[in-house]
Amino acid sequence: MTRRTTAVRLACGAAALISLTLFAAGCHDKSQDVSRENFTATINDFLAKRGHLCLAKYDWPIYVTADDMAAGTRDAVQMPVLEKLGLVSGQNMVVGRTDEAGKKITANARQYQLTEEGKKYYLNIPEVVQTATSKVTHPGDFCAATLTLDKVVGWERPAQVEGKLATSVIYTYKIDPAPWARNPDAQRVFPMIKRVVEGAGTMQLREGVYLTADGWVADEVFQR
Amino acid sequence: MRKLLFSGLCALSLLLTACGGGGSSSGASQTTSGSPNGGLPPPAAVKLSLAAQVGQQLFFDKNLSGGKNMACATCHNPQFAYGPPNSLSVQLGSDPSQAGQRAVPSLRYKSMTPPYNDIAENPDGITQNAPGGGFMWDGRATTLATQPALPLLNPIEMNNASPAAVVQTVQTASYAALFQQAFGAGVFSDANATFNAVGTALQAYQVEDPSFAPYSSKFDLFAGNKIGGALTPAEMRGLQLFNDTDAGAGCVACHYAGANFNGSIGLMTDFTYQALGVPRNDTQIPGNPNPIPANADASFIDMGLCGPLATIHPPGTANSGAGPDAITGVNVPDPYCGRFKVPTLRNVATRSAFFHNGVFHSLTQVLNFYNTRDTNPEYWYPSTGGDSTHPVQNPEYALYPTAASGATAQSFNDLPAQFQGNIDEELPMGQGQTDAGGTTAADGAKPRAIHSAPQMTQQNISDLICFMNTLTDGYQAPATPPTSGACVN
Repeated sequence: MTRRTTAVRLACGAAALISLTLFAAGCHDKSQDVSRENFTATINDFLAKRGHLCLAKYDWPIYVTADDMAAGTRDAVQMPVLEKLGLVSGQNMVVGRTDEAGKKITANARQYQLTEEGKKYYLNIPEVVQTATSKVTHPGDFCAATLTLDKVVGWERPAQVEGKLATSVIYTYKIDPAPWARNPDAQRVFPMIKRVVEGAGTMQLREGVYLTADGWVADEVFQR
Repeated sequence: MRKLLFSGLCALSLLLTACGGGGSSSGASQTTSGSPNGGLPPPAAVKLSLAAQVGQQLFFDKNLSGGKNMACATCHNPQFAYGPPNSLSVQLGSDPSQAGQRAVPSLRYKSMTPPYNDIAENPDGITQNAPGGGFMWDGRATTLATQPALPLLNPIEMNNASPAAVVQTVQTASYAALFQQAFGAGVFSDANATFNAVGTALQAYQVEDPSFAPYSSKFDLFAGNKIGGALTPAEMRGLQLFNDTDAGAGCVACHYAGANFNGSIGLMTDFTYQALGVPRNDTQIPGNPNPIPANADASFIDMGLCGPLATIHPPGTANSGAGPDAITGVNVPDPYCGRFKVPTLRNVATRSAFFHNGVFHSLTQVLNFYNTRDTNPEYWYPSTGGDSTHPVQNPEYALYPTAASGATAQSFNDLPAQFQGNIDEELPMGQGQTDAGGTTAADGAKPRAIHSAPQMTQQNISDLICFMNTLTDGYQAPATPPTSGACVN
């Protein structure tokens, strides 16, 4: 009986070893792996959600005062081009506000509203703008292009960062600019567009990613 | 019956074995790939010294700033090669109403930097000694241990009120006991010793942790003749241009690619200082996404080695360094003005703010600036005069999209005219080094004539970018190299 029990134990042990190998492979959660496949999926997901090249025109209408025009502010340079392209419509008016001393100030200004065509490019997708010490979420933005993954170039060795296993994925992108964003005038007043368009296929981007129970997830922000 | 019982126990153990393994899979994922398309080898077993362990804690501690909101890692983000995580020219401070005055560099490949010296040895072992070494864009920090005090105490950066404030933070930190273990039980009784130990710990971390010098780029595979390191034809053309100081781009003259100090290699810097005449990063540039706030004051001019932040060679003083050039013998009154440190090019392709003032945001812009700084200054600097009714369209990479026909560009608009003799005229910017060895305008090196042909074609520039892409750490060779697409043929 003793011999028989030992034999059963040995058989069970051998089977357990085999099963350990099989089951360990079977139960291994591949979503946790550091792999091209996973990071490709992570960046695809990130770009699908956040891969819009937007222009920090969150709130409309936009007003450009005579002083803004004289100073050549960003809006004063950009809005006339968008108007020429039919994306916004302008209307001259007098605008007013109250200064810190409670005094009412008025100024001649041009009010710009998105046209129906322009509204096609205002995406109601929350956009997080993060600087070193602050994070601001905007509910939507006016966008000029959409990025998709060209290829994952590589990734760094993951390390613990603030309690999370993190790394960065390096990738190149393809870009689909809105028709108006190919216009030379638009690219002149929005230099960011031309830089991103010219970098398609070659400009390497980094995206921070961290590991969750569901796999690797891109950091929330499309930081730029 | 007993046999049956054994069988039951056996099956139970199998189930436990199987699902127990799955539950701890996240641990395994740190070091394994499981992917046929490449993956990382197990991390090298690195045991950080106690001082380095303290440095690691300090590096990520946001309490080490006036607003308790900014750590070293905030601007030197490990996910971005220890560089800035965004494209801002300069980063905001712990006091968010403040902004820096210079672009944040990567902290990678820094530990081998020698202290600053006016007559520093060149790592190539051939080039005559010249200003080199040191930390910060102007070399004013001698070592990685003394460097942290500068951002820690700068009101526009981490904004700690005093060394004592930093010490107080450390004394109450979760790692205070580790700090004492590393630097002595009585270290907190001496505030100076504690503050100095903060620097020592941060230095130890940056020296010891391999993530600060991973050497994991495609170029490293290429240089080591390793599998996956074969450069594509486009990358190889870029490398040849990079190395060609006679008829190519000549980058290697300063971005030295050979064996370097302290056993390092391929850093793409010789640690020297050059005056390139980088455009002023201000609101004159149309659509400029990030003008430096300090530049709103016209009297603020950042001149690198000659100040105002660096104080060893103030212009017009007995310490200005005036005297005959060591190579050409030409007398130069203020030879240090306008010079900034040559940075490593490792991971440059994933940066999005370039030069000391972050005025450029893409490598395409940077290389075209080198190429046409002299031949087409209207692309890069504000212009005056000319016929404004006939604006001339500049190329898409230009900082200034148009210029009036016949206008005169205000070249080198961030360096006063009396110091512009220090401007580097090496390739591809100017006509190159003189027979006598002069590299600057004062030393007789000639600029390229306005509207003459630049040194490089756009194809050359594309190839150079393809090569610089190979300097990005973390490269994972694909199982099947691409046969088409950018940077391939």
